[in-house]
Parts: sequence; C-alpha cells; structure tokens
Amino acid sequence: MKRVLSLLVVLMLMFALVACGAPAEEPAEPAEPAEPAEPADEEEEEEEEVSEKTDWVIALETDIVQFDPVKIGDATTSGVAFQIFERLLSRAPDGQPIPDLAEDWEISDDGLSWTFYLREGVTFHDGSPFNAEVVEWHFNRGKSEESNFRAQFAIIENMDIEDDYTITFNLTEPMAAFADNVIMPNGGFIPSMEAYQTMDYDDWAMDPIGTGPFMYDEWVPGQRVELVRNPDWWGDGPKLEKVIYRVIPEAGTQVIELETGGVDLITRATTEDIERFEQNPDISVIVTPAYRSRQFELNVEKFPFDDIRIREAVNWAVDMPSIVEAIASPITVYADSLLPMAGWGYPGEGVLPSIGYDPDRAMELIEEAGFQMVGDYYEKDGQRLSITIHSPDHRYYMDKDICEVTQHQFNQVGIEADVKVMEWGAFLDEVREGEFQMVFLGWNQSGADPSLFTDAKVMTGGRGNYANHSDPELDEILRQAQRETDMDVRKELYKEAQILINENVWHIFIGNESLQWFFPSTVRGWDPGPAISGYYTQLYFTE
Amino acid sequence: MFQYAMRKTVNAIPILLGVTILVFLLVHLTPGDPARLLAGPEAYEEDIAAIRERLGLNDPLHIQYWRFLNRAVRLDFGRSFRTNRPVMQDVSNRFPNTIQLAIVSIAWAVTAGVTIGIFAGVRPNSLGDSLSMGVALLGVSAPSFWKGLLFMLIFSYWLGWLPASGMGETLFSVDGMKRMIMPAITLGTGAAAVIARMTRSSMLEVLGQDYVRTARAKGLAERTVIYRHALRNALIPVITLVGLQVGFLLGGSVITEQVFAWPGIGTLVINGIFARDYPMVQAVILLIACIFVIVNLIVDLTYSLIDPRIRYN
Repeated sequence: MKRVLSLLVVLMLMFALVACGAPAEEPAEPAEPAEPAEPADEEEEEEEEVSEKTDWVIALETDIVQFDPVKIGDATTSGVAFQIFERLLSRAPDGQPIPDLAEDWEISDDGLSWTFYLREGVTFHDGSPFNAEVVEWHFNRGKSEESNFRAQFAIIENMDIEDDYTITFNLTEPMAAFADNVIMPNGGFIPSMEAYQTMDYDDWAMDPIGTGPFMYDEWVPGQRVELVRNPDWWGDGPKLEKVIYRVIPEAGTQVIELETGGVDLITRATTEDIERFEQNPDISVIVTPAYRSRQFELNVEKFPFDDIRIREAVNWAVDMPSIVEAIASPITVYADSLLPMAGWGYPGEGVLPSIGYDPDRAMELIEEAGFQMVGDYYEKDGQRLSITIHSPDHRYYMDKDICEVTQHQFNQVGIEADVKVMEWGAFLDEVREGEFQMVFLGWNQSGADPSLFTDAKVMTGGRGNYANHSDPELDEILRQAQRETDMDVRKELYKEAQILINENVWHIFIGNESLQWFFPSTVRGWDPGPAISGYYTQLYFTE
Repeated sequence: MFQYAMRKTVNAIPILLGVTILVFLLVHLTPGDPARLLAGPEAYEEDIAAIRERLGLNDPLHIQYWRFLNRAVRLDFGRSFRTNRPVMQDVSNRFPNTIQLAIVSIAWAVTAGVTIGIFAGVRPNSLGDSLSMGVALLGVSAPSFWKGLLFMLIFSYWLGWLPASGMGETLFSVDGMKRMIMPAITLGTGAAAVIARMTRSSMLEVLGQDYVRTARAKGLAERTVIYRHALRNALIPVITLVGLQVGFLLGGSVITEQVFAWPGIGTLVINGIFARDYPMVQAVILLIACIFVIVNLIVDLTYSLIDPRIRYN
C-alpha cells in the first residue's frame, strides 16, 4: 500500500513539474487564446483604427511612498511624479537639456548665474498660476531643512526674480552640470505653492498638484494609483484618459499579468521571458541603453589591490565581454569605461586603453608581483592570493551570477576567490564603510552628464567613491570640466579623464544596464528614451 | 469562566512585553542603515547624516526603545521612515485586507481539511485514503510561492478563468470573489493539509473507542455514528490546531500577498524590512503577535466550552 502511495505522490509531483515547465520550453506554443488574436499589420499603419481603450495600465514593483519633491528618493514614486509634475528643463533623448516649464535659459559668461525664462499662462492642477515666485519658493525649500537633497541644492547661493516670468539662479561656484544636478532630478519637480500653503502637510504630500499632462486622482494603498488627463495642459495631448499604476511586487506575476492583459506595461523580465516575448506578436519589446554603469570596484587600500599589477592581472584573468554576453544579454551590454556608452561623454569604442582576456598574462603579472604558486593558488610570504567578491542579491541584473563566473575564472589562474552575497541594506553598510576588497556596484543616473559619474565615483572623496580611489591629476581635470561651459572642451577633458581612470585600473568594467519595456503591440505614439519613460502624451492604442 | 479568561489575559501581558523587546532588538540590530536606504544609493553623505538625526537614530538604543514602548501602549507607532505617514494609518489601511484573506483561507482550510480528514479516516488504508493523504502531503510540502505561480499559470494563463492578481473593490462582487479564489486557496492549502491529517488520525482514534462500538451495537445508522458521536469528539484537537493555523496563516500571508499582489500587511512588512523602516516593522510584527495571543486565548476558551472536563479542572 505504501508503495502505491509513494508512486502516486511521485506521479503527481512529476505532473506538476511538467505542467509548470511546459511554457518555458515551448515558446512557440503559448496558451490557447480565448479569442483569436488579430494579426498586427504594421505595414498598413495609416489604416489602423484607433482603439476605444484609453487607459494605460502600468505595473509597479512597490507602492508609491510620498510626493514631496524634495523628499522623493525611490524610483517608483519618481516615475509616477514624472507624469504629474514638470521641471524647468527636460531631457532630450541624447541627454541634453531641452525646454519644459522654462522656454529658454541663459548662462552667464562666468558660469555663475543661470537665467530661466518661464512659460507663461501655465496653471497648476488646482488652478493656481505658475510663475517665478513659485520657482523661488520651491528651490528655497530644496535648500531648507525640510529637504532630503540639501547638499545637492547648496550650490544655489540665491535667486533673483527679474519679473513674473524671469528668474536668475546665482551659484556659489560655476557648475556646468547644474541642470543635471539640480534642475532635472526629482528635487526639480515643481509643486503648487498655493496648495502647500493652504493644505495640511501630510495631505499635501499625498495629493501631488503639479502642472503636468496628468492629474492625480486616486490612490488605493497597496493596490493602485490613478491619474486622469489634464484637459488644460499647455502642450499637445495627452491622448489617454487615464494612467493607472498597479502594484504587483512579484516579477513572475507581472509577466503573467502582461500576457493575460491585466497590465499594459512591465519594465522587468528575465532573459527567458524576453525570448518568449520576442516570439509573441502581441507583445512589443524595447530595450534602450541607459545611464546605468556596472563595474567591479577594486579597493586600492586593501590587499592585494594595493598593487597595480594585481589589479591588471585580475582584469586579464576575466573574459568579461563573453561573461556579459552569455548571461546578461540583452539587458547588460559590455562597456570599457566608467561612463555609460549612451551618454555624450563616452569617446567611442577602441579609444580608451583597455585590457583583454589572457590568463597567461594574468599569471605572469601575479608572479611579477612576487607571488608563487603553492598547490592550486598563489602565495606571497605565506599569505595566499585570496579575494572576496561582495555581491548584492538581485539589485543589478544577474549580479550574483556574474560574480560567480568571475570567481570561477579567478580560480583558474590561481587566485582563490569567494563570493559574499548580501541583502541590499546590509551590503550598503559594509560597502560604504570601505569594508571590501572587490565589489559589484552600479551607478544609475537619469542624466547623461559625465560629472554625475566621475565626480561621485572616482574623484577624491566622491560620494560614491567607496573604494577610496584618488589621483590628484584626475581630480584637477574633473574640477576643470565641472566649471567649463564649452561643450567641446568638456568632451575632450572627459576623454582625458577616462584614459586616466582606465590607466589606474581601479575597476573591472562590466557594462551598462538597459531599460526594458514590454507592452502590447497595439500601442502607438510612444518611444521611450534612454533616461526615462518619456511622457505618455502621444500614446494611444490601435485595434 | 470569567476568572479563567482574566487569568489568561493577564498572562498574555508579559508575553507581549517580551515580544516588543525582541522585535525592537531584531530590527535595530539587523545590519543596514535606514537613513542611507531612504536617501537612495546615490545620495550625499551630509544628507544621509541629516536624515539619521531627524529620524532620531543617533539616540542611545534604550532611549529609542523607551520612546517606542511609551507610544506603543497608546497604539501610536510613530511615523514610517519610508513614507513619513503615521504607521497606524498604513497599517489600518492594509490590515482589513489581510484579515479578509485569512478568514476566507481558514474557512476553506477547515472545510476542505475536515471533509478530507473524515473521508480518509472512515476508510483507513483504502485507495481514497492514500490518495487524499498524498494530496495533503503535497499541500503541506509545496511552498506557497510555487503553488501560487502554478495556480496562476493554470487558471489565468492557460484557462483564462481568473484574474492573475490584485484585490477587487469588495469581496461581495463577482470580480472580488474571482480575485479571492487563488490567494485564499494558496494560503489555506497548507493549513487544510495539516487539518486533514489531524482529523484523520483523530477520527481513527475515536472510531476505535468503546462508545462508538456501543453506538454501532445499538443499531444506529453509520452516518449518525460518524457525525453525531465520533466527529464531535474527534474535533477537539482539530480546534486547537485551527487556532494555531490562524496564526501561521497571518505570518504565511506575507508570501501569498507578495505573489498575488494582495494589498495586505504582508507587502507592507516586506517593504518595511528592505527599507529598514523600524516603526513599520515593529508595528506589524507586534500586531501579528497580539493576534496570535488573542486567537490562542479564544481557542483556550472555546476548548473549555466544548469539553466540560477542561473547565472543571
């Protein structure tokens, strides 16, 4: 009897496993659709009928937090706020600033004052006017104790209101990337001053009132946020009536919701999902390069990376382009610089000094540094050449997996390596204290200005320079580039800086992570840029 | 009876006090800095320091604990680090959803569990018995995220019968019921399996008792013997178990809620833990602990109602 029982259990388990494995293995045969899908005639776009569907449903991983612009620190709220609020300047697809609430702007010759000419006749969703007074109030709040971004806003010495629609920002020192650093991040979203002055703060922070194409309508905690069309928006559109965000934490659930029509947009999927989506004519896939750079940071203050030969050797030991291609493509693409390839600061492939894959060269360098092979691993003065790689867990695409393959390639050249995978909060603690030899880190920016990467990551004392890199010559170039307003000169300076960074061998470069968009193929009028989702103002559905 | 209830209630106080200390220490001693997580990885160190000061994280631990306890007895858990809203506001928004899910799950678990248990218990070692116990074994062994995704794959993706995730406007609507089915079954299956196994063994034991033989000997119909005489006695240990399961369901709902995007306290506490949102995590865990204690109290009292022997002892 017991045998029959165990047999039954085994059979049931097998059935269950087969049942859930099937769709991944047979992408060509998706579920029987309830209704036959209409073939998408992309060639005959002019004959496409506009659908009656006017709501755009987006999946969110987490719920919104709060909408006080000077406190928004999470990507979810930032994405929603982006539809409601506007900034003085926006970004063109190549990352350059373009007019938004300011129609035009001027920078003084000394780079110390930025004058913005504001758009006239713009009103907030509560009917109050947008003008220079509001701008001054907002940026003063950004400098105040209420703000989470005081350090960022501290560059603003003061502001002069020239007239109702002209305002000049006086800076404490010239900053070429002022727009990228202060005007365009979350803190640059301009909310209604009148609402702030008349409402209770808690209510105000959960009832965002901006000037954007969509107005905040409803929030059901833990479930969804609904925005409705702003009929009085100053620009053209929007064509949608509603933008609805649904909170769906689990990636697998998001994928099923997209495939069953429960949501229209997801921004996260595995490599297997992407392959399946690409086979599915009902789903469009867009992968856009982003300003997201990924690298292993080598801590120059810790053994063995205090020796540049070892830093070079670990680079020769790892075939990073192949690793990235094999396990993280198409989301991560190999890059040979700290600066993202999508931004204007990257000088192009083959320009920067880079290190290839040559395990023999790696072993030569290790031996030059005085190590000798004892058993399977190198040793020097009784100290084994051993490296712990700190890895976050699913913070960056395939982070842990890339660390593990790297570990394996290290072992092959006689470097003892292990991977320490940590939960994000605990990981940040150790890494920010500099308690690591080698760590998988990323740096995400929504802007393309090179200073957003270099000044934080490799300038002496930079806020993201956890590995304590320092090179006075590089610092000097970066400071010069900060102040310089001539674009061509800046480009040249950042090229020089990147050459120096690569010559110092502070990293093993991994690549740039892309942004991904998966949505129904009936969507028209939307082209997500490299930095952000772009307004949904022209988006509509076809039948 | 009243005295019994009072004694049990008073006993719960030191337990809850212990829970506050434990929860407080657990969240505060976990590595990870709330200010840093709040400001984001790209933040400036000065800003992080300012946030830390504002959140009161620079105060000594015992002062922070005292502040927490002092407020907690007045049901004020402070403001969430992450959302800056009063914690009780978020908790009271979400908690009814978790309770709703737990009630439907336990109802399903008891119905399915007891039915299968009786079925298996009255026909020991039959094919039906083995089959149902096999299913029960599967139910208790399979992790809920796996069950959840499996159900979603079958009923949403392949069959298209049910919406994959989310909660309806209200439970008492077609949409609301449809959205409740998969989460409730996923969450309740483990409990159903445990209840089925307990009911079966308890039934087996009771069916071997003398009074059952007497009942049969005096010519009662088998149905009457099972439902009137055997089942009522067999259910006593099952009730204890159900009480315990309610507690486990509340804890286990974290994963089910995550998978089905159910807006309960589960997703709240997960985000809270990742963000080191101390006030939020403390409040939710304390709340779950209170419910656990209350449910156990109710079980004790029910027990004494059903079985007079316990009351008199």
